[in-house]
Amino acid sequence: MDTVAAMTRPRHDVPGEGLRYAMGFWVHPTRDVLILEGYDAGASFRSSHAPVHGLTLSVLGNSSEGAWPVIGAVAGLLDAALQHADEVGDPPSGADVDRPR
Amino acid sequence: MDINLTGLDGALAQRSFTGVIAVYADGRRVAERCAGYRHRAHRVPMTVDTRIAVASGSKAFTALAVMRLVDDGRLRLDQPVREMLGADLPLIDAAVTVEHLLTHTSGIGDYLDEDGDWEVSDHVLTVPVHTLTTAEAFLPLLDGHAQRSRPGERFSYCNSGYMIPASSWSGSPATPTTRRSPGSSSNRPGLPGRVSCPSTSSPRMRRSATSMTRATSPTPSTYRSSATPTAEHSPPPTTCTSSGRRSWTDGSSPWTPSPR
Repeated sequence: MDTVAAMTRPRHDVPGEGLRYAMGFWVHPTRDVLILEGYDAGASFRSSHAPVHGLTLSVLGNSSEGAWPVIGAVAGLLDAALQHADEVGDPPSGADVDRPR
Repeated sequence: MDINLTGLDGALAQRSFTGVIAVYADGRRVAERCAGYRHRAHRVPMTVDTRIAVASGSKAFTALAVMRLVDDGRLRLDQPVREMLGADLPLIDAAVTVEHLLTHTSGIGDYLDEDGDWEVSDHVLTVPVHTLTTAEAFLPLLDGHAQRSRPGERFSYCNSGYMIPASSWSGSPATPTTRRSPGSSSNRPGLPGRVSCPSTSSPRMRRSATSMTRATSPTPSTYRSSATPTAEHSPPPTTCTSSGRRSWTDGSSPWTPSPR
């Protein structure tokens, strides 16, 4: 777990990206959401993982630019879902959050 | 924990998207969507099992492979990279550590200038792609780029920082202790003993050269035949495409980027 902690701990704010960076992972600007992201000729990709909620959203595009609008929309949906979870108390306080990933 | 799938479908309906979306909750895939073509020229529809390149999405796997070496006591995060490089890549500052590379704080020059003006389809490779048959073969591409800032001073996204561990520490059964890079007269100390981390830790750049990521695959010759289907025309074999950072020009928050 020390390795996981070392790799996922936000170390740097990266304002130009609107994200934080850990070690190999990007991190949501304010929440405990880990992000893998890639951009290349013929590839546009983001996977967002909220460990506490056992939630993963992945968008894999096989064009350079095609996925970014959808990635943006999905980011909004994820934020809305997490906000809703906060409001209804999910997960319950003290719950075992070591869910399958 | 629910995701608004209606919203997901709405986003898909509005956008020109080719690829796959997958939603997992509590370890189970609860939703998946396909759009566009897995092969545009032949109009082969996208399927959920289509292999799609993730570019720098694989940097986490490179970092994990390095961390395995750290856990095994073969590397230290605070270890100077110079100890592994030997005489290779002489422009890399002696103070650069393993941790600097993995956290984009090394300050080393990048083969792909993330701050520069470029397009995703630019050609940046300086050697013919067909010579890039091993991970080590990429090392010369990383050479000749001057240190840009002091190690540890600041975050600056750097693809070369992940290329270095992937290309020079990936291990080889044939050369267990001392590694020699093609075209280099230097012997690098390398790592003690055979490195057992998977060689699939090749650096898929977040923003990098497509052909480089292909050729850093452990089996480049077969990788092409099973290559990730792309909706775009593949470049001719002798050309080298590149990319780098997305540029957010509309002032939006990149976490929720606006369509461009």
